[in-house]
Amino acid sequence: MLRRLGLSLPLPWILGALILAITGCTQAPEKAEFQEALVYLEPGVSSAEVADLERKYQVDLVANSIWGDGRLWRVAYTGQPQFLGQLTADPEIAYAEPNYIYRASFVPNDPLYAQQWNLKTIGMERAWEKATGKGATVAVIDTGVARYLPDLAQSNFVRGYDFVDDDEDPTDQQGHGSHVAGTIAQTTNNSRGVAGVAYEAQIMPIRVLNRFGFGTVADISEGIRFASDRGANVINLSLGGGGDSQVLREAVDYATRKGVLVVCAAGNENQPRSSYPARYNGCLSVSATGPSGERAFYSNYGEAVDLSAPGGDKRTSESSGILQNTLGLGGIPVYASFQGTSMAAPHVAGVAALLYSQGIKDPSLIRRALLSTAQTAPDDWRNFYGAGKLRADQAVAVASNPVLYVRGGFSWIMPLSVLVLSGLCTWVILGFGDRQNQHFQNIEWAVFALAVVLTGPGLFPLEALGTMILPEGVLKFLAAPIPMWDRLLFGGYLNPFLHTVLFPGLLTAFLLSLRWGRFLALGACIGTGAFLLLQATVFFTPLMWIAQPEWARAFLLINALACLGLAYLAHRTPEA
Amino acid sequence: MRPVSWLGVLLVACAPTVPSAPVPTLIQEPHMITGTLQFVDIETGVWQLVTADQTYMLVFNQPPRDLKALIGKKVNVKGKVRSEVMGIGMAGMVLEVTSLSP
Repeated sequence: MLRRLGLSLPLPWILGALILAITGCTQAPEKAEFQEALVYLEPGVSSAEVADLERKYQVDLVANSIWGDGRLWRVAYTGQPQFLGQLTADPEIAYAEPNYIYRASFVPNDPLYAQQWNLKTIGMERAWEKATGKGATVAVIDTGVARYLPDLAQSNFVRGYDFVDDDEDPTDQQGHGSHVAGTIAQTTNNSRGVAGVAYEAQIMPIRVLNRFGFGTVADISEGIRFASDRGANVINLSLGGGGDSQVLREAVDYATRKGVLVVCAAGNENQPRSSYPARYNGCLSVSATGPSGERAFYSNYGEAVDLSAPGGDKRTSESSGILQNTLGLGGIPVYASFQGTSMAAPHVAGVAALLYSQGIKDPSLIRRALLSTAQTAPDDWRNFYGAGKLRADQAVAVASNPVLYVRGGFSWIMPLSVLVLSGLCTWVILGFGDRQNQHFQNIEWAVFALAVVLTGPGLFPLEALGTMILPEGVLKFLAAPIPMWDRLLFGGYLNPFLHTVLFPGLLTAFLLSLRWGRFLALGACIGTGAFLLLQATVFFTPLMWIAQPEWARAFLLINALACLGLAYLAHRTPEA
Repeated sequence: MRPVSWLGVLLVACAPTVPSAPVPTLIQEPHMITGTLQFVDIETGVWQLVTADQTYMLVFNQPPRDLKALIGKKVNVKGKVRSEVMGIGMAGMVLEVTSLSP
């Protein structure tokens, strides 16, 4: 039995690893281009002999510079290694090798750019080679934007509105909105200050928060509708509160219907749920990470978090915040380092603008590109990072390679533990639940193993891959075991139902009397049981409606034991 | 045991009989709340009132001058919870302060 189990269980993993290996090969890191070789001659080769070499190989030898010793020459070639072999074999040539052209990626000349760890973390230098946000409009719905700041001087603006004072002048009096706008479209490569993500995008400044940083739901909702009507492509909402509001939700839905992507900060309460409006389905909720890539101490996580981006974590040093040009005391321009999920959201809004400027205009496609290219955070069972960590370079590269790409990183500690535990449970339950007429066929083992895999560890290697040709989250769906589908379906409302004996119980109730169905049910019981057992203990996972961790653990444990008990009883029930 | 009787077993196991998270009551009238005053360096800086079961984010129409001296101390705040107000802090329930005393 064990031998058969050992044969059938790892099969999906081997397949998964194979897929990973194949796609990994096609996605090898982009090498520098070379169509040029370097030829180093033996000492004492005269210029006449160089001319002979040119005739012999039908090439043009070019000196690299006037400072050369006469031995180093460049030669254009088609890239065939055999040709270099021929050259090296020539008695007058010491060696020939490809002359790699090292392409320096775009590095802006802004002097404080070196301190913007956040932009390097999300791969902006490579992303800027492909897109800078031209043609996209990002509405910054915040405390306004101070256009007079020196490092916003050449940034592009469209007309906004001030809903606090009800006039046409949305100038910032607080500093927050200007900082957020700076992250999106700070004037870049102007030999001054800092850089911004989508520096050629247009900013639509909309002031809905007063000089203390507060505003009413009414103003915020009107701001969202205003931006949607006036041609914004992306809305950044670096604001929030605890209260659900129908007016605000309808405004977000309105924006979505109008084809606008709404990006929201997840909130700074260190709670396992996004604050409003980030919690609405129409909003892309962004949690914050520090320079180490770990979730920042203040950032909300868990419910409704879609994606993470740098938001700063200043516990180590002031420079670990997000640096942008903003207002200091008395409205004087300063470069200030802030931390907060407000700082994380504009990174995502900026990359969304880059995607829009590349021609991806449908907000659902932009959303899919952002989420499916984010770098997977392994073993993120508390959903600190949503789909993963924002990668601007991967997101803008998706237009050229939409079929299959490697995002890197997949969880393996938890799934492998589930696998080992379910193997153990299978041995204990099926081995001890002794039945006389026990005939497990190969195909039955395969069905059993499939059910164990789908409910226990999931096809987890798929987590490392992304695709744009399938609907959003299909690979994530397949990668996640069934009890974790609550993260992907119906806004989390299936939690905690999926973390119970309910699904394997229903399978057992309906399929036990069928020949193959019985193995499906047995597998589901054991897979779910092992999974819940680990969630209750080593890999504790909070549940949605059970706030106390002790209660949640007990709930998971009872259901895990119920699953395993059910497997035992089902196994002992004679075949119909 | 017949398969149908499993349903009974699993329904009992599924029924969540544990308490859910407490829902904070909204105080719409000015109310006196005692808690610890804190300043958190998040966003442009957030003033918080931390009580045993709730963290409030304070909104001042005119902040008192000696606020910094009260950081970490117990204070009495008269104020109104404003559920319709949102802000940049996103670090607690919005409490509009009418008066604050040590």
